[in-house]
Amino acid sequence: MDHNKEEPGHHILTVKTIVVVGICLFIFTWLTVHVAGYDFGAMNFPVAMLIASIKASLVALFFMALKYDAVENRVIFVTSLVFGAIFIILTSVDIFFRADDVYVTGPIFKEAKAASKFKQPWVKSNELLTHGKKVFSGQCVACHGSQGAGDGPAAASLNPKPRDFTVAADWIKKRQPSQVYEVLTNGVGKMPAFGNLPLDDRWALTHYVLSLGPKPIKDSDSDLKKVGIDTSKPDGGIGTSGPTELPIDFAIELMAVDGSVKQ
Amino acid sequence: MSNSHDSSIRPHAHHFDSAHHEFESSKQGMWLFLLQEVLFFSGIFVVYAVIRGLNPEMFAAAAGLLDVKMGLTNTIVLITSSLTMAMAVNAAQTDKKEQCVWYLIATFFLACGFLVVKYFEYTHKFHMGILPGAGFLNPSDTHVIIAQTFLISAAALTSFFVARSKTGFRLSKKSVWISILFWAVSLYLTISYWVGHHGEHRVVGQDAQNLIDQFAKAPLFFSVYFGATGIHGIHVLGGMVVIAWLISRAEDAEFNSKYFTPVELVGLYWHFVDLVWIFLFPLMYLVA
Repeated sequence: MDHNKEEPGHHILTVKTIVVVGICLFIFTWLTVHVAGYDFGAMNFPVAMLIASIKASLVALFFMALKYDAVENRVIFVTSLVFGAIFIILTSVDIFFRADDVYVTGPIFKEAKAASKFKQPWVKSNELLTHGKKVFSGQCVACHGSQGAGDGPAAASLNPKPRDFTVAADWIKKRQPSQVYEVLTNGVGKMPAFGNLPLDDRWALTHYVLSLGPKPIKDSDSDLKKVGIDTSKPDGGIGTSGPTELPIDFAIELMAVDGSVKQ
Repeated sequence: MSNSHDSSIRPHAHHFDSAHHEFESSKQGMWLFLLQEVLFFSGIFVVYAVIRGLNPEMFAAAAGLLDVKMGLTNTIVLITSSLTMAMAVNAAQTDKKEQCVWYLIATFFLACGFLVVKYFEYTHKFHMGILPGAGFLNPSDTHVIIAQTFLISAAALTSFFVARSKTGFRLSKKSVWISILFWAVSLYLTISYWVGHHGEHRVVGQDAQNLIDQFAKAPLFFSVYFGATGIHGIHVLGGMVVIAWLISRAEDAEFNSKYFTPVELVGLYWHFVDLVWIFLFPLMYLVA
């Protein structure tokens, strides 16, 4: 027994085996490059990985002698591969199959949209007017026309026609910021709701469309209260947006969305 | 302990039952090390899967800028080195001491060849303005200096291990030639760069410009490429250091059919490095 223990008992790979395995590896390498020239469509990646796996198995079984090794060592190596596979598969499932709306329109997103980058967006300012004009030309011109006269390209098919913002008599609701903001948010008649636009955009639009006609009526504190503005607080109780107030992963998501828009 | 230099008998450490037990334990340790290596590289493959999965078109276009011939050369070089390593283990197990030394030297040179091909690949990419992440289209001498420092430190490390010997700091004939050759290659590459190409890499290739005009996220591909192949390259370097150490021990006739643990374990490591490259090659070079 003791004598047996002293015997190395290792498996010695013969020169012949080594050379044959080596030749097989060269053949499969040639095959890898060769099949890359063909287009198997969706199978391109699996085919390439299959060949690589055959090569890897040859190396592991013969060169690394796993075929002849103690069972524990085989278990150790296979375990590492299994855990590597779990890591890759679970991450891929998370990244590629997560529902879009979970991170695009989740509650945090709405909260971020509610915050304002303007100091007091309910008070008219030149920045708001400039921003409003930009949003108007993107969102509103189709129906309301480039000058807000209700003569956009899509207006012809609408009944009733969109209002002419430049004429005070054409307005149905009061020409008051809070009223315009309310209509923008919830819609009225044929005018759809634009509540999905960020709060800033809606206030900027409010001031812009009012600037197209005569001087509007001023809002009282109670008028503003109805649309969620608390004038007793410096920020109107809507908060100011800043990256530090967002959860870090959500901030990254927002930046990624911004980046894709710029492209 | 006095007979530890005797080539035929090697006493096992007292906490092992036998020399065989010691060998098996050492080998199991190596397998455990390789287990964590697999998990280490799996992180890199996850990054690969995510970035490729989210940007499949960008990935294919960016991979088109890689040189398949260089990748293929390196694949053949590395597989050949795996073969010579297996032959070195076989030679050690069958008491062919002289053969063992030569196979180890061949493995070492093939590893060296792999790194030299990588060096040319990297510097060519730098010249084209292809660098990872924010360095894309914004090359500086720093990147080339890093690549050169890498090679020179490899040369220095290898010299140190080659020169090491049980009987003192002695340079054996074969080892000293290996070291000199490696130094010569490193210095030649460095000097030729600074004499011939200094500043040239600032000329940004049109290919890189076109790529980034089309795909703003293209630098991500090269972050993965340089990251994955760079970390693999460090493994090759580590392998060279231990193979150089094996050469000096094999020259001292320390390995034989009764004791060849270091050769076998380094062999396992070296085949693993080959194994990673077997996957990196099609994943990086053949997706275009």
